[in-house]
Amino acid sequence: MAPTRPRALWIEDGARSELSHLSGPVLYDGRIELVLAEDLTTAVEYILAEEFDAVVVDVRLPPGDDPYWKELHRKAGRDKVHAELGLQLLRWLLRPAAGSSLPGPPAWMSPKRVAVFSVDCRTEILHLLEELGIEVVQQKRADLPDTILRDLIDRLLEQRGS
Amino acid sequence: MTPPALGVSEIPFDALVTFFVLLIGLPAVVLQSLPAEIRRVLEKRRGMLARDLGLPIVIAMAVAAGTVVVHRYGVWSDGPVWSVGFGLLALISVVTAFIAPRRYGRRDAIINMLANEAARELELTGRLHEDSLHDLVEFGRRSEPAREKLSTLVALRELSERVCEHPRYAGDALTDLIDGVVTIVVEARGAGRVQLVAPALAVLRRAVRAFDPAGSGHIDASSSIHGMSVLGIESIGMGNPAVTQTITQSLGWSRGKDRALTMARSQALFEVGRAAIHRGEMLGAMKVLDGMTSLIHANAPAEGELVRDAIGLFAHLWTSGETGRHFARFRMSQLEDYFMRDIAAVVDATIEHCQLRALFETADKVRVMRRELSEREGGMIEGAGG
Repeated sequence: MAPTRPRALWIEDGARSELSHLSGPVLYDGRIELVLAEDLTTAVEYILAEEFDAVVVDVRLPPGDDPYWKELHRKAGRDKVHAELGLQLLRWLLRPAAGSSLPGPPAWMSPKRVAVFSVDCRTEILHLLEELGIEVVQQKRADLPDTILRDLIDRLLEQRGS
Repeated sequence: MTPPALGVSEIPFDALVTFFVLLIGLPAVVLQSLPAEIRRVLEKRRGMLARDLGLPIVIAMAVAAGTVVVHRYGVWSDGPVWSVGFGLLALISVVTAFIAPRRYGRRDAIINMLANEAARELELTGRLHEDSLHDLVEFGRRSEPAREKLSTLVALRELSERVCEHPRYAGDALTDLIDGVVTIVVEARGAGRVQLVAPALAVLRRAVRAFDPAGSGHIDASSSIHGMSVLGIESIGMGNPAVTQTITQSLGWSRGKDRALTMARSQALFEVGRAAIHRGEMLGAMKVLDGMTSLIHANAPAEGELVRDAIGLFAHLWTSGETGRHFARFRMSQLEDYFMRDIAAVVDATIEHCQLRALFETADKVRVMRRELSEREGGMIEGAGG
């Protein structure tokens, strides 16, 4: 019997428009179990409930209905571009601060399981990702292949394997 | 000392009547102007309404009577007795005018009130108060803007969380809440409908996650899975594949091997997948198949209804067109190793199962698939019969 498939979490609120051409290749070949979270509340729920082999995160994410993320969103003027909640999520996952009202991140989490896939890849964001130890970063551009999501997940799986 | 006589003409009736008309009339005007769903909630709580809105009138009457008495006994006969009295009446009127619309005119206040009512015995019993929960669900159903439905769903989500966390939770205290959540989403119309799915789904997922094979029944978990199926089929018409995807992945979200829940999940996935294929939502169908794959992996070596639902889904894909047939063939070959019995046996068992359950359409499609597997696919199934 073949081993169970690797599992990937894609945290992406623009997934509605990008879903077909990005998740299609992952779903078609069936090698990877893909889970989609469209906001921070849902993403944290999944992360705390299950282990993932790969986590692909956007920078600009809506908060969902958890008060913690809603408050961060409110403080940023209810603007997901300025709130950069994806980065807040990564800080919680990889460098949790003491005194946060959120539970601690799961033990399985490590920078090697995380990729950032976002339209926003400014220098300061790249510096932060480097500090967090995240090596797989891909800026969203129009000329990317349809298989880019699958490729990112494969890079994470290879990175873990090596 | 005999108190000085107070002439009736000295009492400023006009001003007093004005205040009392204001105190009685203002809440009446507020109540009349409320949306129907709020009035409906308040009509069932007349006692609370009478207490909250009657209290200022009683206080005002006491103030007016006190003012007359003070004036009558001449304590402040030359002082500002009526100024103080009217000042107090004005204060009571202003406070009432501020509180009444705030307490009864805002939907979030009503939602909070109903949620608190529903949870009033929760600490003690681990269960929600049925009438209040029913009113909260009805309020969500009848609220027109999707934003108001969303607030109701968030309140229901918080209640469900508290119930699941309760030490006496036995897996059967959320059925009404689960049905209510699904109904609110299914009955919603308009652009904001899609936003309702996430909190509703969170409630359903939470109830499934709370299932403990060793310690609780699976009534709530089964209801939630059925609810996911209803939402999944409904989502296909929403024109947003991400919604179908998030619902479907919740159905495949199982690492346990509870037989009843696995059957419920596979049946739900089959129903959603069949609906997606019929409506040409192939991305949704692919996601359903992915969920089914996860379920089979988690229950390998798989047998029984899980495998029959998977084969039924493959058959619907197979007969949807040439690409669907290739895709079904490709994914079926990946799953064969996870089945307890060989593919010919499970296909035959699926045909029989569908016939007995009056799923003739699916049975026909499985027959077509069986025949073509034998004739065109190089003998994946030997000697197609049936």
